[in-house]
Amino acid sequence: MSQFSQTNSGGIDYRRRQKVARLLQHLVILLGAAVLTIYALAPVTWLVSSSFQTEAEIVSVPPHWIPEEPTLQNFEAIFSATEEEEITYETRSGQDPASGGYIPSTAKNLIPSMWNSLIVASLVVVLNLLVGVPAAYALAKIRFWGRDASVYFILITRVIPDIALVVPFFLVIRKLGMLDSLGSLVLTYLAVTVPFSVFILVQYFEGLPDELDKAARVDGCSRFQALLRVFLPLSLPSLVAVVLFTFLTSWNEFLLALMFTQTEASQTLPIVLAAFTSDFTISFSFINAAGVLAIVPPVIVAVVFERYIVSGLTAGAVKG
Amino acid sequence: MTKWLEENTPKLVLAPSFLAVLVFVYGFIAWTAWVSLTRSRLLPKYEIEGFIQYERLFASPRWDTAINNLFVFGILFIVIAMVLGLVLAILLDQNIRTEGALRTIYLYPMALSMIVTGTAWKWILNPGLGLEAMVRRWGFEEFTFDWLVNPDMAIYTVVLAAIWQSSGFVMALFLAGLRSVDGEIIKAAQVDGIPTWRVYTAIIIPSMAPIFLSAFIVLAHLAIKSFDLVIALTGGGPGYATDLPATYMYAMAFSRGDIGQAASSAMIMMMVVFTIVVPYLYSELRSKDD
Repeated sequence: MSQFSQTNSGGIDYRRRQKVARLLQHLVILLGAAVLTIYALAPVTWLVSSSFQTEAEIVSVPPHWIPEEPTLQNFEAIFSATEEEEITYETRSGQDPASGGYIPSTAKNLIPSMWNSLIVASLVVVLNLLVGVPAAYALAKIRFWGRDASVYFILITRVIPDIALVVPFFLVIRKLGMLDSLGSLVLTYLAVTVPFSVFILVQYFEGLPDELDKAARVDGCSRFQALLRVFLPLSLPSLVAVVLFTFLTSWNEFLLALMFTQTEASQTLPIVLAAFTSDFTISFSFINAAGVLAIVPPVIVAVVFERYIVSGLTAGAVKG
Repeated sequence: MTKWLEENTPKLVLAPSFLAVLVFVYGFIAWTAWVSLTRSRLLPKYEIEGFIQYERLFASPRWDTAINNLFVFGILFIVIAMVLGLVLAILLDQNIRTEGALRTIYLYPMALSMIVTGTAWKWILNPGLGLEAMVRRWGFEEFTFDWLVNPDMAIYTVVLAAIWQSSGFVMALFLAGLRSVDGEIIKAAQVDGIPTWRVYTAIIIPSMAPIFLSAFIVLAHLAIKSFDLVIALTGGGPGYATDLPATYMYAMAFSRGDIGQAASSAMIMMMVVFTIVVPYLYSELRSKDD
């Protein structure tokens, strides 16, 4: 009955066209989303997949996105490379570098450099919290003379590109005799990250009501106790964001480490990796295995704490 | 004693950050400015000689390339990352079930070092191994994709990887913005029968103007300090076709032993940042006073 009236009025044509249009729209959206998702995932998928391939397989055309003969030899090479036993292509597989499978003698630096990265990143995170939390609390919740000026004094540095300051950084670190030490990295990373941490935390503290502070003080809390017992538990999301940011920044930092580090005593993971990639005799699959180890911590962090990364990134940017 | 401590707590706890900022940022800017006016080579000198370093800088074809690249790279990177970020945000805002997973997928490149992912990019862009070889295998023998080794096109590979790294971040910004738009207005518009795309272009997007501005500032900032990206992907090559001011500065300071040139190029980079950021800070300050 209804079908009958629709065919007569011509309404069904219109409706069907609308349906087709909507279907097409969905199709286009799905297609676009698929392309973007591939774009987002392809590089790291390849990185992981190729780290389980042999050198022969990695250069095969067409490429194998799923390893045909998965192998752990790249990872074994990294973990078995020790100071005592210099791993070269001769001792490991007796292969000719041209045919691939070449493991550089610097492979033994990889694990120590991971430790260096971990130590530096952890120290920078802890010191950031120790310095940044009280500073942000003071800026956000305590009225004192020069407060507004201090806020801008510190926050404006967020927009200054650290790369423009490397010449003095280098001159000072050299003067202090701190080249090639983990201390130089911790110090300079702090200088780069503390303003940003303070920025995230001030934003968050300012959003918490002043009454909390007053109530705590009336109940006999000192400033310090008010911060510790009232504000810190409430500002957990921003603290997590600060930890994530400082950790990721320190873990991935390249430029300053490139300037300051020279030997395995202080070289961090990105430096050792970059040294691999500039050596054309090293097998791609070995470099990629090392790269996979380097991205494990950030990927875990990104997946587990995605929510906090977003809230940290959007701090201050989205105020409605 | 406790009273004194109580009164001076803000100053005491601010002192370390304050001092760090004073020395490491403001002090170092002044220092860089000073060095940029001298004839410093391998070692810094402190006799001011005027603007010779800037004259040398602007006479250098390599710097010319670096500045041109910065504009090409910067504009493409900012525009495409913003458009893509907005599209992704609108897509994810449609209450789709896989939102959490998709958000992570688009955002994770931000957490990774370009030094690591650069090797994968290099392989994908390698004409003999990656995309070009793959498409040719599918039967498109004429397909060429040699941007990485083509001096005229190499800078676009840097754009490609930079967008890959940062559009998830823009998406996150816009998504937060979309969610903060008043739902009542949107509902009212829908009740009135206004088509969805009109709701976006006429109501939602205009109300997100401040977020566009923040995204622009952050992306411009990222573009100017791009260093890892270029080093990992092209090393500034072929030749110096993909040099950016940051890589130029690094090359001058550490491989050419020309600290004066490095300092003057650093000052130019800083000025570019300031011309972009100062208007923003000014508007920010004004909105705070209101």
